Amino acid sequence: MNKILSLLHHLAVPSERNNFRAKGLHIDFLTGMIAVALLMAFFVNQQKTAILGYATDITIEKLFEKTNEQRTSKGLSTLKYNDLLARAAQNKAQDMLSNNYWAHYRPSDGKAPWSFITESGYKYEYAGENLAQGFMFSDGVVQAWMQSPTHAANIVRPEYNEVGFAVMNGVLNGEEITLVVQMFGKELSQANPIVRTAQAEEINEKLKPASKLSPPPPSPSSMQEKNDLAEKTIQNYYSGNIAINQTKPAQNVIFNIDKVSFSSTLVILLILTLIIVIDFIVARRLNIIRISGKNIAHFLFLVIIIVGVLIITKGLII
Amino acid sequence: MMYKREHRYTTHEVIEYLLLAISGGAFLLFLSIFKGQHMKQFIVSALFILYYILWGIIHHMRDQTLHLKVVLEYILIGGLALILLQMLLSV
Repeated sequence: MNKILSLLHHLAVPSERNNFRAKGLHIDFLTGMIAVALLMAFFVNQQKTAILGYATDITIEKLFEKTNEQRTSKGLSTLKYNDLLARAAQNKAQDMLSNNYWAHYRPSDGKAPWSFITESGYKYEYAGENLAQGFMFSDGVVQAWMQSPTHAANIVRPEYNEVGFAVMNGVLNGEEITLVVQMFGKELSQANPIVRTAQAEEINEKLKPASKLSPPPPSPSSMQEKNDLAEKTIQNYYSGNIAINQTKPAQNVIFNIDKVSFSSTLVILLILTLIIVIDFIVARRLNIIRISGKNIAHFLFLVIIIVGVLIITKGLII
Repeated sequence: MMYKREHRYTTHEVIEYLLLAISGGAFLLFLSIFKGQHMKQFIVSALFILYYILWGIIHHMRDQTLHLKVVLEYILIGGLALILLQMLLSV
């Protein structure tokens, strides 16, 4: 125990033993930290290349859970997971990556989110879509949506009773990103009006006659047609250049590379900041003047970098 | 080597620290503007780190305490931050 304390003292407290500068701020120690960081970065990059599916900590399970948490906190019923909505979300994500756009409506022909829903075979009375990209954690995605009034309105809309998600990695505008598509819906029960909501663009086309927009009533032939379409969609998906996708909530990710790299980055930066603070306080108290970098500058720099690390875990929503 | 002296911050020093803090604020602002655009965030980070190293060199030059060891200290701390940010941004 004494040895550990002595080592920590040597690392953080300036004394005669470390030439009156915390060992953690010596050139050799910092070089060692750089070597460790390089090894970590190499390992993380290797893992991300090998298992693109786990490039982020965003999982359907967590998104689904967090969305329902928001609804229950508002006294609303929880949403059921719907595979057709998930398929629609997956097709939308794939479409955005294939056609290189980031919007609710496809810019080339104005294809609406609802088209993806109806194509998946889901006959909706109410439908909505939330989009996100570039996030590192599921919590961050739902949190960002809840901070935007229009997206939050979608999540806590009482009319919806089902939801589907897609989390997809791919290249958008030349950059590797993770897209999240959230599709809400309520299945058409009778001849009710159809209401669709795509957030951020503030589209809320209300009370259009069901006869104009709803698919034909179910019959054995239309059901077959629907299955064919679904089959084609899956085939297209696998032949595309998309590396991974998630559409099922039952993801059991034990080891998440992004969580590990995020945590270790924060730990390294916080330890270094702590060493700088201790070194600064002790040096001030003892009036030690040394030929070394300025602790205040290092402290300021590291705090800014730590805040920066927290910012880069956030992404964009529309 | 160690000696004792009362250290008081000069106006120059205060201005320089303020400049570093303002630049840091601008860096964080750009990171927020480029949310979700990892390549741009990485470029902004690299520029800020480079600025920090240059700030250190100029500050110590004015302070007449510039030494290779000091320059290396700024480079190593900046380099460590750059590697960690690169790892997170996966660029």
